[in-house]
Amino acid sequence: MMEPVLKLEHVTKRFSGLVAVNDLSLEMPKNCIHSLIGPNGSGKTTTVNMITGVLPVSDGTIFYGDTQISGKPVFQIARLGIGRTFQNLKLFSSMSVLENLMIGAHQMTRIGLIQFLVDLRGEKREEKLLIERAEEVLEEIGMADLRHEKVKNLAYGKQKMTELGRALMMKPDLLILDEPAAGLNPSERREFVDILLKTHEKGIDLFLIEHNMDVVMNISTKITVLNFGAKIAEGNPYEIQNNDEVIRAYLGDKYKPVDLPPAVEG
Amino acid sequence: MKIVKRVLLAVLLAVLIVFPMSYDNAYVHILLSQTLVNIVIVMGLNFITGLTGQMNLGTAGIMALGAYIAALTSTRLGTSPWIGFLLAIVMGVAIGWVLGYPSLRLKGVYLSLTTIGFSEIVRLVLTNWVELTGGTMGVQGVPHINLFGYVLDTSRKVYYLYLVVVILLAFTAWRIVHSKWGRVFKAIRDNVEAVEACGIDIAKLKIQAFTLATVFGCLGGAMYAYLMGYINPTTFTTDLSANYLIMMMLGGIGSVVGNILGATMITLLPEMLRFLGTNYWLYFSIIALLFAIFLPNGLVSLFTKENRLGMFWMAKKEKTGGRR
Repeated sequence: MMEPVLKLEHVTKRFSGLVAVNDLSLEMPKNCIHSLIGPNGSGKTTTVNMITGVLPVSDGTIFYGDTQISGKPVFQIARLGIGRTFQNLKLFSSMSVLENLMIGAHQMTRIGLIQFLVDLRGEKREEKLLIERAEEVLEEIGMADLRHEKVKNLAYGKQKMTELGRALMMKPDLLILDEPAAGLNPSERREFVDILLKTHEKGIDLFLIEHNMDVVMNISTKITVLNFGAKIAEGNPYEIQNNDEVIRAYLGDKYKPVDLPPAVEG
Repeated sequence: MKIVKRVLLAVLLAVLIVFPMSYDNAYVHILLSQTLVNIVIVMGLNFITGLTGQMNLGTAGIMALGAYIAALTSTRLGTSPWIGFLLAIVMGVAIGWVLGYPSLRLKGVYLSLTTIGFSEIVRLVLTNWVELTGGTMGVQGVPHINLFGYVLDTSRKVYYLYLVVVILLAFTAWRIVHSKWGRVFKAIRDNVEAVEACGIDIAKLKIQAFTLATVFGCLGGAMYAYLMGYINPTTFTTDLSANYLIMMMLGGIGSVVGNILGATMITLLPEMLRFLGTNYWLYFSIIALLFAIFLPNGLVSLFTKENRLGMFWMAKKEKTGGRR
C-alpha cells in the first residue's frame, strides 16, 4: 500500500479544560485533494495549526511521509515542503506583491550575511533568480500586472491570491489552505479553484478546510468531517453527501451540490 | 533622476569635505564628528527597531560597552585604537547574542523594558566597578588614532576619518536594507507567523538584526571614545537611548537616508536653537509634535514621490516630459 502523504495518529488538542480536537486519526493519500469540513468550532483550524506546528499536540503523533513532524518548529515543518495559507490573511502589508512572493522563497536562498557583505555581486545573482521565480508564479496566479502594487491596496480576492502565490513560491509538495474560498465572489472563487486544480495537476497535494460545499464537493477526492473536535465521517464526496450523521451535524438535508459558475475572463 | 541624485550626492560630499577645511573651529569639528558617530548608531538601531520592529531602548548601554572596551584597552593595555575598534566589533557581536535571545520570547513593551534594564545594568556596573572603569571619574586620556604613522590629533582630522567610515557603513547599511535581509526584516515586523510559515528561521534572523544593531552601536561607542578622549558613565543614560530613537523616528523609520537626516537634525538642532536657552525643550517638543502630525514617516518622506515635495518633483517632470 502506498504510504500516505500526511498521517495523524490519535491526535488530541486540549486548551485547559476544553478539548478542541479529540483523538483524531486521518490519512491523506498521495495525489489527493483532501478536505476537512465541519461546523464552526469543530477543530478544523486547530488541526491545521497542529499539522503546521503553530500549536503543539497534547497527545498523538503527526507524520509527513515517514517523518514525524509533531513537536518540530513551524519553520522546519515548512522546509519539509508544507506550504500554507491562513484563514485570516497574513500578508506583509507594507510590501509589494512581488516582495511578498519573494519572501516565500527566502529560505531557498543560500548566501549568508558575511558572504553578502564581501561579495557585491553574489546576492544580485540570487535576487535575479528569485525575481524570475516570482514572475513565473505571478503569471500562474494571473497577477503579473499587479507585481509592484502594495498588497494593502489590493482587493480581498487579490490579497488571497497573493498569499497563495507566496505559498507556491516555496515549491511545496503539500499545500494546506484554510478557507481559500471564504470572502470571494462566485467568479473569483471559480478563478481560485481553477488555479488550485492546475496546481494539483503539477503534483502538489492539497489539504483544505472549506465551508463552501460546492467547492469541496467539486474538487475533493477525500473528505474528513469533524464535529466537536472528533471525526464523524470520512470518504469521497458522494459518501459524505449521503452520510446521515454529516447531514444532521453540518450539511443539512436541503444541501444539493451544484457545479461552480464559470470564471469571468479578463 | 539618477543623474540628479548623483549630482546632489556629489555636492553634498563636496560640502562635507570643504566646509570643515574652511571653518577653523574645533567645536564645530567635534559637533560634526559627533553627528557622524550618531549616524552610525542610528543606522544600527534602524536594523532592529526600524526594520524588524523590535523595540530596543538599550542603545546607550550598547554604545557604552563599545566605548569602554575601546577606551580601556587603549589606556590600560596601551593597544592601538584599531585594536579597540576591532574589540568593539567583537563586543557588538557578543551583545547581539545576549540581547537577541530575549527578543525571541519577548515583544513590545516587555522587550523595551528588558533592553532598558540591560542598559541600566551596564551603566551601574560601569559606575561602580571603580577599579576597572574609574567609576564616575570615567576613563581619561584615551589616545589619538594613529593612521599609518599619521596621528589624528585634532578633531578635524578625526572628522575626515569618520566621514570615510560613515560613508562605508552607510553604503553597507543601504545594501542590507535593499537586500533580502532588509526585506525579511520588514516581513518579521509585518507578520511573524507568515514569515515562519515560509520556512524562515525567525530566531536566527532576529539575532542577526540585533547583532547588526549592536555592532554598529559598539563601533559608534568606540568612535565616540576616540573622538572625545574621555568617557564617563553619566553620558550613557536612558535619555540617550531615547534620543537615538527620536533621531530614527524623525528621520524616517527603515531608511538609511532617513537615519542620516534624523541623526544630523537632532545633533545639530540644540546648537542651532541654543539662543532659546532653557526653553529649548519646549520648542523641541513642539517641533517633534509637528513632525508626528505632518510627517509621520519622517524627514525622508519629504523626498518620496507620494508626498508634497515628491509630487512637486513629479509634476515638474511631467510638465517637462521628463527632460532635464
